[in-house]
Amino acid sequence: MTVEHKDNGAARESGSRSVEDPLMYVLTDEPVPEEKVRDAAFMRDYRAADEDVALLRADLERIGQALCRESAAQDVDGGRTVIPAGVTSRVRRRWALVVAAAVVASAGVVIAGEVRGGGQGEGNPPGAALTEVGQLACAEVVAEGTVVDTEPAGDSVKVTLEVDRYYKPDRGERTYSFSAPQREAESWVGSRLLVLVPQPESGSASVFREGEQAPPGAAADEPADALAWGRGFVAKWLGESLDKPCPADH
Amino acid sequence: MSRTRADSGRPELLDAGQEERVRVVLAFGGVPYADLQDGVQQVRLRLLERLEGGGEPPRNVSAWAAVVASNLARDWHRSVRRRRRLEERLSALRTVVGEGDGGEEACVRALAVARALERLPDVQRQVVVLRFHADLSVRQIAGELGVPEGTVKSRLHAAVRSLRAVLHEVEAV
Repeated sequence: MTVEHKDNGAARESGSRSVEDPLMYVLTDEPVPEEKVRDAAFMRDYRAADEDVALLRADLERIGQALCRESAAQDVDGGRTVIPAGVTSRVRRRWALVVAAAVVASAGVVIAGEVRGGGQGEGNPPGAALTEVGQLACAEVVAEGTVVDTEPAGDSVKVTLEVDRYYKPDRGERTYSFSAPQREAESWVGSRLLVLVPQPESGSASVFREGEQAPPGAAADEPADALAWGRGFVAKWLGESLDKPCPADH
Repeated sequence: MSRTRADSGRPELLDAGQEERVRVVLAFGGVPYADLQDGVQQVRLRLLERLEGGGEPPRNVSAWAAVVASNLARDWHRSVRRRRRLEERLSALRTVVGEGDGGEEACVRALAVARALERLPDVQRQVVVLRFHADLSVRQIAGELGVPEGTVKSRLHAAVRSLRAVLHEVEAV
């Protein structure tokens, strides 16, 4: 970053700043004339301006994402997610997608390929034969939070999550309990996880727990952490799934 | 299941990408989160009024919607006191801002830029957001705002000079 070239501070609201200014060429995307290209000082300042504008663009993108993600930061209020009154169901779907997209943006996740099942589920995840969209279409609840309690319940474990993000539906109670089939779930208190709970009688929950490895078959360029991978999965496919019915024959 | 194009009987006025851009432009303009959806609805309504009033559809709906949103945000300021300043809102989201490439340094820089953006005159902030976030050309901005290109250039130049100064300050720290 350097000072501007020949900056005489003469910008006027009513007039046009001289296009001789290197910054102005950057701002307008106008091509730099040949004689200017041969001016080393001009080009040094032009490149500096170009770098600064690129930084500003990146900052604006970052700020814009943060402002959109304000929804995620504010969405739990007294155990209920806050959606402005009068919002249509289509907007609610979009909201869920925005939150998911924001998550994937932060994780830098790119998901591709066939379904590989989910995290810590016992054996294959529910709907392992389903497409990614099908799995989410058949999910009754998709939520992320921290495990605050576990309790043995027969052959399974009742896991209680303090939820800070509901992906599906787009609202819910502050705490949510689901049944995990494996005994090891008893040790999950304090863990952060994303859970995908299928509709009743449709199989067991898929859990993507922070610190665990991503599901077998995850691509090399996908997150190695199960939670990050699960977020990417949800971000990638949730929006599309919200318009889809759960296949009857899965 | 939710209503869709097919069962609502009317095509969507704004597609998802356009709606998202409108939301961000409104947010940049200082419209509080709780009011963003109202803002989007108002942009849709204006488009609907234009179409149903027999007007020509905008040649570039994305550009048109971004500019309407930016004007709406400015009007919003006049009628509704900002509940939370942009910088305060972003500070509350510090973790979010700090995610991605660059970590803490980028976070500090983005917050400084947000602060500077907040201090800009409305007309300057508007052109910055339209140029760099909505990605409209100077000519498009001038056309949609109904002002000379020179005015857009000078507003943009003055705004970016201020923002560059902030970048230099952050770098010097």
